[in-house]
Amino acid sequence: MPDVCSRWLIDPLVTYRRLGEQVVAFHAGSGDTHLLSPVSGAILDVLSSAVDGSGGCSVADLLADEQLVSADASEAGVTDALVALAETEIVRVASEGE
Amino acid sequence: MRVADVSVGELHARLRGPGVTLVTGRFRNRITSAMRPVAEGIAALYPDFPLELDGGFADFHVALDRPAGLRRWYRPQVLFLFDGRSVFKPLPRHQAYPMLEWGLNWCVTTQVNHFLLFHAAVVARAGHALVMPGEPGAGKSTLCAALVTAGWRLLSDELAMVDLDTGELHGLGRPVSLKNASIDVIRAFAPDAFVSEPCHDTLKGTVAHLRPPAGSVQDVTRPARPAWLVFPHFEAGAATALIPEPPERAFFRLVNNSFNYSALGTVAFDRTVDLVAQSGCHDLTYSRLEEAVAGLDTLASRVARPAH
Repeated sequence: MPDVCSRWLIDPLVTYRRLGEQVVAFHAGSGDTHLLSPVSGAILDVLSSAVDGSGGCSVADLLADEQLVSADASEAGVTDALVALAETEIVRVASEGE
Repeated sequence: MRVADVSVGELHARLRGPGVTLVTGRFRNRITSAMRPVAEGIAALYPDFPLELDGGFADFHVALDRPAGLRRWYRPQVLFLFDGRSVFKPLPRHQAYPMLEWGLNWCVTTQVNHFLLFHAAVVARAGHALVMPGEPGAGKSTLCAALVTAGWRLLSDELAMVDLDTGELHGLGRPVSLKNASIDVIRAFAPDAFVSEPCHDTLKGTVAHLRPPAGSVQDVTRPARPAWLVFPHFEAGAATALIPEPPERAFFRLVNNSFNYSALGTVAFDRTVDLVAQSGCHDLTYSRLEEAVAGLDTLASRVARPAH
């Protein structure tokens, strides 16, 4: 598992949309559709709003973001959500932490 | 020209010769058949549909024909041909007309990818569409027939066709397929509606078709905006219950009723999300048709003004 310094990006083949309180995501490569938790949705919002060329966001970046602060997300919760998102190839590691 | 403008005899003569083009919404179906029940069925169930006797472009070229060999005479059968190729197992010849209806559905579900397709009945009121997805036996066609005879506009009893650019729903307007007990249920519910003679012993049991109202046929090319997404479920003896369905659950139920979601990819995902987001989503359990129609009428009355 990547450490907390890893930087994360949304896979470019992924589209996600909010439906009510939930988030649904589609991966054009696998053809799979996923139902995501509100924390996962907030993570995707933060990753998608990251400046192009920034190399993605670390867990620390995510935890500092207002959306995740207001979602009351813990470091463990964000890490678990990232791992789950990575397993379904919705996000990927841009660079490993040092 | 409309189907009603030609006699059954002339229609039969055309069908057994060069064929006719029957226009059903966005699709042009070139049909040939030497079997008179096919002509009689089209004449009875499609009187208000555009008909073209000349050739020209057709989306689908279909034929209902007799197989070669002994089966022309012994326990005679019928074949459904698409582009001259048999695509189903032959059926007993008395099922020629239902086979045409099933075959035309097959043409759309297997050949069309410029619409996002769901297995769902669709009716509309004042430009707002009610989409009712469901597995066979869920009661969607029965409910669709009842709604249509109660004043809703028919788009389709089988296929929701979503425009990939606008998200609007397009119709076919074709006859509503009724099975088994639902045939008498609709005859009792709407005694003035035309229901064809039942065809017995098919793979689906006894089947008959409800003729679409002329107004639905005239407006068939007018799309409707999604407004309600209702998952009907007939349950004998159950009290009528129209319960809100969480949108994310409705989304996945809708995806599970799609014919080409996977083939279309991201655009299908976006249009499906749009459809759910624009619709009031409900689960409907019913046993009494009158109550179900009244419940959906009430739901529809909450929309203040027409979409078009």
